[in-house]
Amino acid sequence: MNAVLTQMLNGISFGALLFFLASGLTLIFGLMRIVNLAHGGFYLTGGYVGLTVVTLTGNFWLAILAAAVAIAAMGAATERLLLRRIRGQVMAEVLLTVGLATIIGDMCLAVWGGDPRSVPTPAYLSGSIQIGSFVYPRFRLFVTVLAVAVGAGLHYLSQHTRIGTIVRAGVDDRETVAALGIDINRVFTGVFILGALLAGAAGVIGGAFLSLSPGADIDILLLSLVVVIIGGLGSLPGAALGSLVVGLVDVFGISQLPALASFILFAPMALVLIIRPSGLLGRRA
Amino acid sequence: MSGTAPEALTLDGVTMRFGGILAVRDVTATVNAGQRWAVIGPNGAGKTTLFRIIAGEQTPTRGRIALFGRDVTRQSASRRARDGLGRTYQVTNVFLGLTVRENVAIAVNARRRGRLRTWWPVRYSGPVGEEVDHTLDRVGLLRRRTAPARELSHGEQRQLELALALAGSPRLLLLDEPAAGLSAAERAMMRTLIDSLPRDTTLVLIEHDMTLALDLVDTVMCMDNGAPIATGTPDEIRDNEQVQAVYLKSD
Amino acid sequence: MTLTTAAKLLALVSAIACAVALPYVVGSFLLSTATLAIIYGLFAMSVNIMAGYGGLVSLGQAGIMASSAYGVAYVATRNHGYVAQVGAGMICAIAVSVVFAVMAMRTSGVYFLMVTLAQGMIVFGLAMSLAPITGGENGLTGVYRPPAVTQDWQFYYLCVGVLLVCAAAIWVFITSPFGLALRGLRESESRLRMLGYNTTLHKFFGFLVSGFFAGVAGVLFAYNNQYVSPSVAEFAVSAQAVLMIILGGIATLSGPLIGAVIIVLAQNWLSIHTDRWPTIEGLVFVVVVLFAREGLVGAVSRAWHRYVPGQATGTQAPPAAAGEPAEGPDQAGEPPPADRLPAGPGGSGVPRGLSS
Repeated sequence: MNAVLTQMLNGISFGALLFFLASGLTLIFGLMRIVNLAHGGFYLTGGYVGLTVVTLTGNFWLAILAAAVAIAAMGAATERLLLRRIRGQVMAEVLLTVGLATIIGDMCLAVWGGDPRSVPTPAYLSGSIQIGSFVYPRFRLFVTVLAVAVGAGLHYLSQHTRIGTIVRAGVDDRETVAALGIDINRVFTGVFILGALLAGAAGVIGGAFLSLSPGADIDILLLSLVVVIIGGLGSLPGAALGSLVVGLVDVFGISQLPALASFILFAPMALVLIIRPSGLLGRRA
Repeated sequence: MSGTAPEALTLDGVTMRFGGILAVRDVTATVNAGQRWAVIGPNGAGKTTLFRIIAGEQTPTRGRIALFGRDVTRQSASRRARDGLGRTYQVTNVFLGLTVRENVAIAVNARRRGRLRTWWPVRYSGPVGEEVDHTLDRVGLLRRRTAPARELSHGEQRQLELALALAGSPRLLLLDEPAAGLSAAERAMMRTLIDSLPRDTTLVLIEHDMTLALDLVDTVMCMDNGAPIATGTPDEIRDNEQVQAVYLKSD
Repeated sequence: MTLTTAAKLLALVSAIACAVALPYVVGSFLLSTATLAIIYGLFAMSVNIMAGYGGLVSLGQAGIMASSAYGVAYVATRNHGYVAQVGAGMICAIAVSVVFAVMAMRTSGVYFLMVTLAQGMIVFGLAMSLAPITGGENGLTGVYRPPAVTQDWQFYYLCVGVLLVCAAAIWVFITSPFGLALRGLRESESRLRMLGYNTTLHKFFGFLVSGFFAGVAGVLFAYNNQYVSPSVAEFAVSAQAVLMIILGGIATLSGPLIGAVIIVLAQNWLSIHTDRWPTIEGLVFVVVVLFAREGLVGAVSRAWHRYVPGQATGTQAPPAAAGEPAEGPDQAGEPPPADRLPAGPGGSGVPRGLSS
């Protein structure tokens, strides 16, 4: 029983991590119709930057902040200098992000090397808590709580602020929003930066209970893509739901049927794409 | 098998609801083979939506559509096209990256379903080429046949648009604002073109240019707010007070 | 015969002559690099059938190539003859293509990209996990070349020959009415449907043809390396094929091959001097996408038509096989740029709710 509970919480906390990435990815796609395949690179770089900051200053929170800022800048540069030149050209945008992802992955390898690294966590977030006979890592609970907080924050932003309304309207109908005289360029850049920022911060967090190594960017990108497809491109609630589902499936799937691990994840994704491309909670495109 | 009844197009209670909006309300009409109809009305009257429903690009919320006696309400657009329906678009929808000749060849090939020929290189000197050239000649684009469609002027693109629809020798032709964006001279050319279409081709056209429309057809249906408000001969419609009111109020 | 057609024939003949002469001129390392370039070139050409002409880029084509390579290897390790090996490889490729095609044929644009991405990953995952069949992470060894082509230079000539035959076949396919309809699919799927075409079926068959040639590449791949591992199915392989296509010239017959030659040569040479080949490749990706989307063949073609007098008018001559935008020799325009894809399942065509 405890084992099952542990697995479940592992799935939930992993899903929480995925949510940081999936939320950004889904907004970027929903609004800009861009599949940002460099998102995994954002995650990994953020994690490494955070690792370096922690190593230098010993401050975990500073590391998260630094990573968020650094990757936000990376995202801004990407959108402003690169993606904007090819706005609206689907294939070109995807390929550009692929090229970018390749560069980022290799640069991380060059700077931080190929050995798996972990981000050290502060004492009050490490170790386990104990409830009766049940023991669980504190940090994973922290990740879950943080994801819920971020989710709530995003929800508030999207439902109760003007900018959120604009983004939601833009996801629905880009042309109309642009026609209303709103500077759609700045909204695009802003959303992209937000997504990058979340991914960067997630890198530090993920680097604490998973490890950072070459290839981790692709792994988490693929899982995030699955989340976004299943949950619905452009839908934040979909990203939340999808993260939960994928997190649980990943943990239980790998433990029960390791041989078919990738199949278990990608087959449903393919199925959703074929039967209901807008995902479980997305709008019909 | 495609239908053979004398009623080229039958609309029965066709209704289209988009969320809270009724774009097309309960349209019932019958167009007989060989007739020429114009559908007129102010912007937002539902004309293009009706067209899309007839063409098969939109499934109506309610109602039936029949082509030559055969119920096609559930039939796909490509199936209707194969059964003799041709359509031009208000916003030019041709294959911009291909040459004029290739554009029409695609249209011509749709009709020629020979098994082996599908896989053999396209030759413009054979029967396909002849049909392509013939169609281009009819719309006046023969001398531009090797030009990329992208490089054509707007008027020439409208001609190509028409050529694509004609290449299949359609029995029922839907023309969505064929004169859209054309200069006066180009309009005159388009008018002559449409006028010269074979008399056994049933024609339904949407057109904003009233003079063009009323001159070319024998029946006019005026729509407003998704429903037909008057149907009759061009003279009757010209003198119809309701029609005049509808157009005046939208100025 | 126009000057353009003559130039193209000359280019084709020269290329074949160079290809034939190569083993006499270069050392074994370059020869094996050339062989690899030919195989990847064929693979890229297969991707180009759907990507360049049909406007649908598959990011999972490597899965098909891997399937055929594994088919060959599996039968080889069970000690069956060469015909059985090749046959198994092609059957695997076609079977997987059918499955992929059925999955993908109702999607377009970004969704097509993602379905095909998933497909490639599924094959990769299966290759890694089904160890009894695929040898898992270690792959399968024990593939031996047929006696007539055991030597590298012999195998090289085989690849050249296979490439020429396949290129000719692809050319016939592209210039057929089916191929023309496929190109129409790229321009406007709605228009094609409204002319009476069953576009889903066209995508399906296009995918099959594309997969067939990927399968041929996979067979050659297996015999070239004499070893197959899951890395053949990686996303990076599919992505690299797309880079080759764009670099060389999308929707041209020889573009993918030229792109493959450049990339494979660059990769093999630069990897000797630096570890940072992936960064360089990524930079090429970014630069090409931003600044050179018509690719080399496209640029050459455009320059030719601009600077060589009298070449912009039309003739009836059909396009020659090599170095050729498939629109025809009388085109002054560039090959359709890679952005001509519908943005999503809604496709291009008449926007909804327009005026009336």
